[in-house]
Amino acid sequence: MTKWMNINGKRVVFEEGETILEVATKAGIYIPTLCARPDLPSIGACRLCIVDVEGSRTYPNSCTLPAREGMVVRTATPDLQKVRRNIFQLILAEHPSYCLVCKEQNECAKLRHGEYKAGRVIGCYTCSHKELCEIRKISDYLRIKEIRYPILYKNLPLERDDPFLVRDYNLCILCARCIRACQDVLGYSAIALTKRGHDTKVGTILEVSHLESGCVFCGHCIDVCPTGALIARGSTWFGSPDKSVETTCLLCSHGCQMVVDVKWDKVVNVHPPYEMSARREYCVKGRFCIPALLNGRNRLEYPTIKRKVLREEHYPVSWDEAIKYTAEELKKFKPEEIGFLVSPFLTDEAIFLFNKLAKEISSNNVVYDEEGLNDLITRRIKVLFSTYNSELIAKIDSLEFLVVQDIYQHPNYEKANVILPTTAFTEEDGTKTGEEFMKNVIKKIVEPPGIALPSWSIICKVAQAMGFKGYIYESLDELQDTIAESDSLEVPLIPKQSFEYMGTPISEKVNEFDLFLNAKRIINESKGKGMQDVKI
Amino acid sequence: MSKFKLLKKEECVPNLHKFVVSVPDIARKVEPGQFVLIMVDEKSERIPFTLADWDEKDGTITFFVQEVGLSTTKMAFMEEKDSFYSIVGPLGEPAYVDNFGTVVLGGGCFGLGAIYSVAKKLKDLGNNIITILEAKNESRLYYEDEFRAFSDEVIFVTSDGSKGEKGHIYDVLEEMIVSQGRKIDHIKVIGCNVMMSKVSDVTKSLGNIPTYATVSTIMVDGTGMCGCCRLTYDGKTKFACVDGPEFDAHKINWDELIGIRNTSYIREESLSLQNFSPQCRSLAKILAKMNEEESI
Repeated sequence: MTKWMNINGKRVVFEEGETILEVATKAGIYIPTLCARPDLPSIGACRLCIVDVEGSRTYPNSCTLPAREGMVVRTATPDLQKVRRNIFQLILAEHPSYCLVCKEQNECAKLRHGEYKAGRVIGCYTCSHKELCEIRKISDYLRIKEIRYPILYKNLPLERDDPFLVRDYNLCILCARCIRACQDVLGYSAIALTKRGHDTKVGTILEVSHLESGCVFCGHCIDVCPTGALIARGSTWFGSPDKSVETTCLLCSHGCQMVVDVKWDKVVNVHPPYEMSARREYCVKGRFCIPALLNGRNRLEYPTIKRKVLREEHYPVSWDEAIKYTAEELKKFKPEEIGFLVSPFLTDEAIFLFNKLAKEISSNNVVYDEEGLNDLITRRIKVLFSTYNSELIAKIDSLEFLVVQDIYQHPNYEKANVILPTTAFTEEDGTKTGEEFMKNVIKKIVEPPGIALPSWSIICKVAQAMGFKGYIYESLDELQDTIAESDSLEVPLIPKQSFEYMGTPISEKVNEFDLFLNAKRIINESKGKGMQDVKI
Repeated sequence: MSKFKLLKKEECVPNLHKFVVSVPDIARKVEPGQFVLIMVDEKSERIPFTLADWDEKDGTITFFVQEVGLSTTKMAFMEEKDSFYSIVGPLGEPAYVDNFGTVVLGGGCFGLGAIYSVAKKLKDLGNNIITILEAKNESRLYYEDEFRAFSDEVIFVTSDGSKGEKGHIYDVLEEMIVSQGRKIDHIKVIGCNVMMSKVSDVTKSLGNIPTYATVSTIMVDGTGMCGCCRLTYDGKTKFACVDGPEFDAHKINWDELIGIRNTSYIREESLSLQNFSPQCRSLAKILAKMNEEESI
């Protein structure tokens, strides 16, 4: 039986157990709130969502009040708004909100854009969360022109001793969203409300560092924070992104969907989609490391060939030249002398083409890991087409010709005859089979550096130059159709605990990840767990 | 390297650090209004800081650092007895000082400290000094007592009215000149460019009262070679490092300075923070604790 209630004179249907806030939101009626979120249990902390219920002596919180049959509710009577404004001003009194009442507000936003990128927040103009701030939204809604109470700055120190996280609890309004996400939804309980009364503050138990408190650095506290109190050190301060695109994280086969924020054609931030912010567990790699990992300074930009001019060095060449040279050299060897080391981080399309090419030159030397590579070494291969940086590559004595394809330059590549620059997973379109045979979509979000090409298109070019037919694909769709028609492809899985991307250790490119791993290892050791590997 | 040793560091107000550094050579030569260029480490930016105070006898200089980007964050992470990579100075022209009569000194943010040395000098020359200190909130005001010692009048102004007047420096100036009819002979302002441009607009409209502003620009070498600190002054290109940093505020093209020059590198500034990691203090604390336990 459908149940009905009345909100603002509108008859709305609801289901048993829904709160007034949920019913109203579904019906398109806005009730301001700072602490409630659809994915978190409600606790009624901010009291901004009060409503006028007929027959009730007080104004109850709509986020904790279950809807009842025949209830008559009003959400914005003059009296309610007056009380709400008062409550909100009390919240503002403990938040550095001077900018909300400053007459220079609009001009300042225009002129001071992007000036401040560090330190404690001393007003909206220095806050990185300004564009998304929920306090500012509600301030607009309630038309706050002045704050009746003196603004009190708590003057707490900036907490930035831990890797990745910067916490400025001077901005905190104690909505406890971070605590609920950590404790109730994910179950880590790394943070809690500490102290009592006016000194109440979000913190760790016994004031230990987050590294020791059981924090896994998933960043969900940051995603749910309505203010700028919690921020990620590296991936903030860019203002509002130029675009935000949903894609799949390719650092392991888990297949987490993530939103990538792009500014100045660079990946600047990675976060979960809003509706999954508190539900999906992200790992520290995916949440914090991607921008620094993909925007490193020494990305490969141009194909290079090793030539002897004065001495043997790598010289940048055009794609045509690099491909022609590679193909000609490959043709000089016997099929069983050619090996392929395929990175599991490549897209399905690239892995399919690698297998196809190997089959056509009748070499069955396609391997995916170092174990396989060892096997190839014992078979004394003479040519290696590698898409994966491995220490072993430099140690193969029998090698006569080495082609590498990567995103970063490595010392191991000194020996390489040809180096081909390829794209990272935010720079190409494609699909990737993850755990449980899930096919995930990968989207091109930013332009690759220099003239780097996606792996699948590099292999097509090489195959064509070697004289094989059937490697002309006008688009990726055509290639995907071919894959759909052919036999099912076995794609190696990437474990969650792999701390690398295409053979590049994440800690080498992301300083803070290095810190994180070191610190965790030392903590493990001190707790008597020995030097066991860090789990994320 | 203990050449530029940090002797004292304190966060006097949120986000603003007072540094006392030992550089005897600079302390001996510097004059009010001059600045130094600082590099925190080998790979840091070079940032100009106007000196607030110095002690010839001890060989120390004092300046204020507002944390705004990568290099200033590195500075904020420094601890006493650490050393800077390099400090160059004193650079720029000294502030234009004379016996003007009644002088208004306006300071905001980092300018509160920077204007202090000028205040001392002007007082020595026999001026009647009115100091106006601006901040967002009373928790951002500092150097009160120091200014009281060298000025005849200290006026506070905050955006939210928590201390002194509510509003901005130019509101106070306008009131002083228009409503109270006071005669002001000279105005000096140091602070952010936005504030200085506003003051400049007001004083221009109120009968062209001489207004001097110490501009803050991006700087690299500080000797007029790189041209990063260029600004259009009276229709001509001037370099803040050798021709300034103090200029007649009415002749500066503020729109260009604020809108184009100072925002040119926002992309690089933001992206440079992507892979910034200060040394992990949590780890240091844990290690210290472990050592302690072991010794017990």
